[in-house]
Amino acid sequence: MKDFDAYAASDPRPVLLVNSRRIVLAFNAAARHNLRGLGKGIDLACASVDSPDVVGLFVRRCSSTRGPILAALRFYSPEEQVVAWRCDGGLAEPASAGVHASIIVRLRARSDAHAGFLALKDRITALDRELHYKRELQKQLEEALLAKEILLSEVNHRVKNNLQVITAMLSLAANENAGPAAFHQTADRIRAMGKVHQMLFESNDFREVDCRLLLAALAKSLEAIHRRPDVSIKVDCDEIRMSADRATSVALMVNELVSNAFKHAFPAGRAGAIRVRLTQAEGTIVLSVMDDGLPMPASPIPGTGLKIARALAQKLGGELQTTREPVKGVGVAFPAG
Amino acid sequence: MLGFISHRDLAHSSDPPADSPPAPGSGSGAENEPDKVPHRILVVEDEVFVRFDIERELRAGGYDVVGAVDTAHAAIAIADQERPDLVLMDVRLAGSRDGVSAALEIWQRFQIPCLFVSANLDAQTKQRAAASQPWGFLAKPFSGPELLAAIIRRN
Repeated sequence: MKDFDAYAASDPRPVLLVNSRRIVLAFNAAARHNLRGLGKGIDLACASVDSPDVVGLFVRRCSSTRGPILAALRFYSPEEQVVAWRCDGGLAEPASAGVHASIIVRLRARSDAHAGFLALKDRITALDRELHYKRELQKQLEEALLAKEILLSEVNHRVKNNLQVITAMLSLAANENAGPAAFHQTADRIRAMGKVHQMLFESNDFREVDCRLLLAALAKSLEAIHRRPDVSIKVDCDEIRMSADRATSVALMVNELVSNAFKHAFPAGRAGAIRVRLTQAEGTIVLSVMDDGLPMPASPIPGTGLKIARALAQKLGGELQTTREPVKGVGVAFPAG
Repeated sequence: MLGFISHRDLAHSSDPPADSPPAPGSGSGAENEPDKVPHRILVVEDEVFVRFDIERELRAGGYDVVGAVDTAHAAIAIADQERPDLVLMDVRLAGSRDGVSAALEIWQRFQIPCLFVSANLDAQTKQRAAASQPWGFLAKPFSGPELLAAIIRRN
């Protein structure tokens, strides 16, 4: 205990610092005046009238806790009288790399009943504090366990739900009579859902998805799928986080709209860019997919992709809108909450 | 995924199984009889692809889909307007109310039962839903034939 002198110097009662081997390391002026034969480096048992076993037991008990351990020890006074002292001791510093633990021991005259009560009160307070700490710890552990159970139940629900969604996608593809193309589209949709789960897993809280990361990953995946180096996908996204469910709807919409742009606006030989924007202002999120490809026909025949995008927009609480001028694209505004 | 069991198959079968239900109702739905095979169905499901596939599956099976919505509010409105024979009800829905809450109101007001379809059909959900006299419970993921079988046979 480096600051023992500062700690004990002003104490009118004897205070000693000993190690777990009973060796006296330091003591204050009151100890020097009241206890005969005290010196640094000596065995505390040598200064005590009590047997080394009694002194040793007290020191051992003190070395295991910071809370006060109570005992009665007898020492010779400078006048060679045997004086009984109430002692309370506790761990000052635990053992470390070859250094024994140090223990601080405070002595009070045995006649001072009030001091005894104070020591007892200190002990009860310390126990109460320890009990409170353990209860808090238990509460935190119970809360963490409950959170994990809820999370496990939620994951179980999501897995089963997503299996149903994938089953439905495959079933719809099988009934479209569009051949392998419909299954390729289904694979793209499953991949878009997969990106959300990847982001969710990487976010560590398993609740919300960072849309910037999601759209960047999705754009990269769509560029790779469509293999059109002459058509780039540019993402412009505000710092937006949303639940996995809503993020899945956004990802699937982007997948449908970008795929539609590749298919209809950029026939072979037509270069350009597709811009995906997700912005938030005043409680409203706006998702848009614009492109500088071929103009939209005056009366486009809505295909499956657009039908899906419309339903997803509705699920998010918005309505899909189409613009032709000054830029061409499709977008939806929906509540952020 | 074409369902091989449909109420049309059963209605026109010359040799139905012994425990087959009678032919489907005409579709008025107003005086709904719990054990009558439903014909007019309202679909309440918030997953877009699942909703589309259920609609397709039901139509392919010869059913009349009177509506397909994703919120409790819309489900109650369509039930009031169309009086279907049966509501196919997901438990988790878009919006603040869930499918059990919508089912309870639909049963109380129109005596139309619900077939609950959900990935989370725990005991607590079933207990909450009991007062709506459910047609049955179908756990996700399910197949088309399983869906059609659950509609035909009340459990």
